[in-house]
Formats: sequence, C-alpha cells, structure tokens
Amino acid sequence: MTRGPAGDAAPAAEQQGEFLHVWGDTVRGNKLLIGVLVGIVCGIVGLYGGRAVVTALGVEEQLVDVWSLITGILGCLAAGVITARVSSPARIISEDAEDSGALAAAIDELGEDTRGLGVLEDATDLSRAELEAAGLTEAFREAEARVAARAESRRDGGDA
Amino acid sequence: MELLLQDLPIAVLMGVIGAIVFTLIGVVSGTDETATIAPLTLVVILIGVPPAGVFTFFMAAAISKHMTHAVPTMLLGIPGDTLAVPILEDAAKMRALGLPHLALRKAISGAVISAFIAIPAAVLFAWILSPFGDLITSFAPWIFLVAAAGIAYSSAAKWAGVIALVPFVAVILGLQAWTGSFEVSLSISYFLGIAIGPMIVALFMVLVPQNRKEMRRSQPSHVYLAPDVRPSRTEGEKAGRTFPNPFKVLDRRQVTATAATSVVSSATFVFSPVAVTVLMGEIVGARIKQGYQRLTSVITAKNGTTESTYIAETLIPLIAFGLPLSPVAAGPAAPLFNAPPVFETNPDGGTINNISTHLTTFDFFIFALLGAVCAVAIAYPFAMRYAHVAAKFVVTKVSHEAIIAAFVGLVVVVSLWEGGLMGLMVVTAVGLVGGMLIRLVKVHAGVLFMGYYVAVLSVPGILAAFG
Repeated sequence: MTRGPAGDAAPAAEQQGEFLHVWGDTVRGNKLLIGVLVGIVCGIVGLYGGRAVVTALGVEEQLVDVWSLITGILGCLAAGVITARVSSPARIISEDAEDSGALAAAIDELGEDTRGLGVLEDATDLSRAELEAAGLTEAFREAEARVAARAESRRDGGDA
Repeated sequence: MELLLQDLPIAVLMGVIGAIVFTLIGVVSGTDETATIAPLTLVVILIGVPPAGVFTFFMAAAISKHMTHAVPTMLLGIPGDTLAVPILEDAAKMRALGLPHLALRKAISGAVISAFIAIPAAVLFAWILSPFGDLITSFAPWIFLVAAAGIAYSSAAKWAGVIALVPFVAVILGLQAWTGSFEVSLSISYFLGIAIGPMIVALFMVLVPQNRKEMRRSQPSHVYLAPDVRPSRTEGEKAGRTFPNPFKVLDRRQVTATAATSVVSSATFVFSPVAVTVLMGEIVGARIKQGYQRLTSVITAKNGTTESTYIAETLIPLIAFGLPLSPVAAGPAAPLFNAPPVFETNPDGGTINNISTHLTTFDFFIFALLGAVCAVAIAYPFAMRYAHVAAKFVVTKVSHEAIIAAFVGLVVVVSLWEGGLMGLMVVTAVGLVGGMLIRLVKVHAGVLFMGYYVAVLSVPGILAAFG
C-alpha cells in the first residue's frame, strides 16, 4: 500500500518544498500553526470550561481541581481529533520493505552505534524469526555487506 | 493476617479500578505520573478508602500506566509520560524499521516480568536498609548530589554534562524563588518542561526564518509499516484468544537482562527513575553485538526499569523509613505520605502518620503483588492484542500536526492547572533551556531530572547543614 500525503494537493506542495521536518516527522507549516492554536484553545476551554461546569454541578471543592484536569485532558484529545480531521498525515506509507527507501538508512543507523551492526548469526533464534516474518532479513544481510565493504576499503586505503 | 484478609475485598476492588483507569490514561500521550496518579490517589484517600485499598490502587495504577504508556511512545513517538522519555529514541529506530507494534509488545512484556521481580527485590532491600534509616536520611542530600554528577558523567556529554548541571540547577532555584515570592510551589511543570523540552525547542526553531529554511523538505517522510509480526502464531497459537505470554515475546537473553536490571534498579532508590532507566539501557546495550537484538533488548530492559524504579522507590521509603526519601515518594507517591487530614508526615514536628504506620512489611508485599496482578490481568492483554491495529491506525490516520496539537494543549492544561500563568512560564522556560541542553550539550532527560532533585532536595539540605 502506498498512500499520498494529501490527495491532489500533495505534488504541488512537494514542488514548493512546503513540508517541514519538526520534532521527528514532516508537517505542513500552515497546518502546524492551526494545530498549535487549536491545542491551546481546546486545552484552555477544557480546563476552565470544565471547572465552571463541575463547580456549577456542585461537586466538592477538593475534587473540582481533579475534575478540571480531567476535562482539560479531554480538551487536548479533542484538539488532536480536530487537527487530525483538518490535516491528513504528511507521510508516504508503505507495507512493502523494498518500497521504503528509508529502510536501508534505518538499518545503517543501527550500525552507527559504537558496538556496530553485528551479524544476524549473533542474534537469537527469536530475533531472527521476527526479522524473517517482517521481511527484513535480506535488508539486514545487505547492510552487513555494506559494513564489510566499507571495512575492506578502509583496510585497502590503510595498506596503500 | 486477619486484618489482611479483612482488607482483601476492598484491595481487590481498588486494584481493579486503578488498573482499568490507568490502562486508559496510559494510552494518552504526555499524561505525567505526578499529574495523574498523585491527584487520583489523593481522591481515593480523601473519600475514605482504607490504607490497603489506597496502596493497592496506587500500585495497580503505576504498574498499568507503565505498560500502556508504551502505546503512544512506540506508535506515535511522543512520550506516554515522563518515564517514557528515555525510550523515545529507541522507539523511533523501531518505527523506522516498520516494527512499532513489536517494540510495544517487547516493552510491555519487559514491564510484566520486571513488576513481579521488583516487588520481592524492593521488599528485601527495604528490610536490609531499615536499620540504617537515620544514617541514610542524614546523608540523603549528598547522595542525590553525587548520583546526579555520576549520571551526568555517564551521559554522552561526559564532563560537559556535569558542568551543565550547575546552570540548570541555578535556573530551577531561580524559578522556584520567583514563584515562591508569590507563594506558588510547582513540581509537575518542571517535570513536564524537562520531558517535552525537545518539542518546545523544535517549535521555537520553526519560528526562526533561517532555521525554517533548513527544516524544509520537498517530500513527506517515508514510513514503512511491517506486517503483524508474531512468530509464535506459526507454532499454532491463536492470536488474541489466549492470555499473552511474555516468555514467548522475549527470548531468554532478554528475560535475563530484564530480570537483572530490575533487581539492580530496585536498589537505586535515590536516583531519578528516568536516569536509572537510561543507565540500565546503556548497560544492557553494551553487551549485545547485533544491532536489532540490541535495540529490542534495550527497549525491553528500559521499560522494565520504568516499573522496577517506581515500585522500589515507593516500597523502600515506605517500609524502611516511613519518610518520602526518593524522587517517586516525593512526587507521584506523595499522597501516601501527606494527604491532610488523613495522612501527615512531618519528621521535624514529630508527626509520622502515613500509610507506613497502617500496614506491615508483609501487608506491603501482598498488596503490591495484588496491584501487579490486577495491572497485568487488565493492561497487558489490552496492549498486546491491539498493538498492530493501533500502529496502523496511527500512521495512516493521525497526522504529526494532530499529535503536536494534543501535546501543546497538554502542556498548556497541566501547567495552567498547577500554577496558572506562572506554571506556563516555568514549563516554557524549563522546556527551552532543558531542550537546548538535550539537543546541543547531548545530556539526556535523566540528567536534567537529577538536576531538578538536586535543586529541591540537595541544595536546601546542604545549605541547612552549613547553617
């Protein structure tokens, strides 16, 4: 499955470079602004509106604070739902490992750890079975080969 | 024993209620433990529930929350609560591999194993420490200080992390003095500021025109979602119909690592739980060669540690000292020590009437286990069964803008709720300073949490010691 980010508007947005990489994912600037404003407004309405309603219902004074927090959090959830309605995810989603260009980079990133990527033979049977079931074994083998090739070329460079 | 049996029905009822409520709250991103567990525990105490019921409620709540907090952390990439912050980076790597649902199953299975190991371990450590209660109490400010420096040095920042603690502690002390001049005392706003610092920094950065140019992308992000990976299915298990088994989700090495880190982290009750979680992840990861094996093992051990630190940091101060001598006891578990007019703890005034004066060590052990059983029976199958369905829903239907909207709302709500406009200013200031330290100096959130405890626990104690 491959999904476009925002229907017909998506290609035009991509050409203009309208996506922004914020806090680990891509967003559209105008939709982000709307989301932030909706979050603030819904949160405040949930907190203070909820407090007013709970007080009007005659709830004990000690519990009004707790209930207003709960209604405030419900306001935040409402903000998430409203923003999700007005902004479709700016993601290209794939359920085929080979479709995703980012997969190789993600595996290479594991190898950037000081302990390296290692080889699948060092993993347990369960881990290997999980990778096999997810269709990732081949991608890990290819990444191991890239690591080995880089090590080889460094050795050759050193010898020279 | 008679009293224990008499309290059992109310304890079971409160354990089930705590587990159901916090299984659901845990799923909501950013619901800080102190902001949720403490007030609801306070309500339970004030409505007259007996101590056994209160304690079982608290344990079931904390254990359930630290299972389902993995849902938003693994699937959305935003922390379910403060303790989920150290798992974020590992969660992002699993999402990049298309395996967020598997990360979720590993994390909560680690939590199950850890909960049942940490309870007896914490009771044992509390029993060992009981005779040294007075000595430990007098050294507590120094212990927090040394622990903070040690945790800072163990971060990627090394000495820069230790030095960065000084201005950060000064900022906290300054903000406390400022709010204190208006007789406003805050704590949750600091936790929240540290936890969401990176998001606050990102939102500030996007406001700067030059940064915005660098943040521009011509294409949306590419997300790979792997099929529902459950190797045990092929061995005849009918998914969703039987109670999930953590020993099938984790391999023997992961179970051993989780068990070992649970025992070790149960003893470090004066450390920030976030810092201990990071540390345990580092220790487990250092021993594993293969990248995927390392990543899943670290996630399992880290989420297990979120359980064990909370359990130990609640049980040890209650059993060994009867005083709130740990970050958890001073935060989310505070109502177990102070909930006037029911409980009051004031060692200087000679008043110690808290939950520790109503329950024996054996009671604590039994009701903690009961809380764990309630939490595991309700939260574990819930999160396990819906992991992949939820992951698919999130990546296909929930935009990142919506996640940020909910999170911005949460920051506003919790800070205004705690301290009005002053709370909002504190969360913004701490978030901005803390987020920049995380981003630029490469300290982790655990270092900053220790910095907070140094400011509130060590500095006053050390100043008092020097007159």
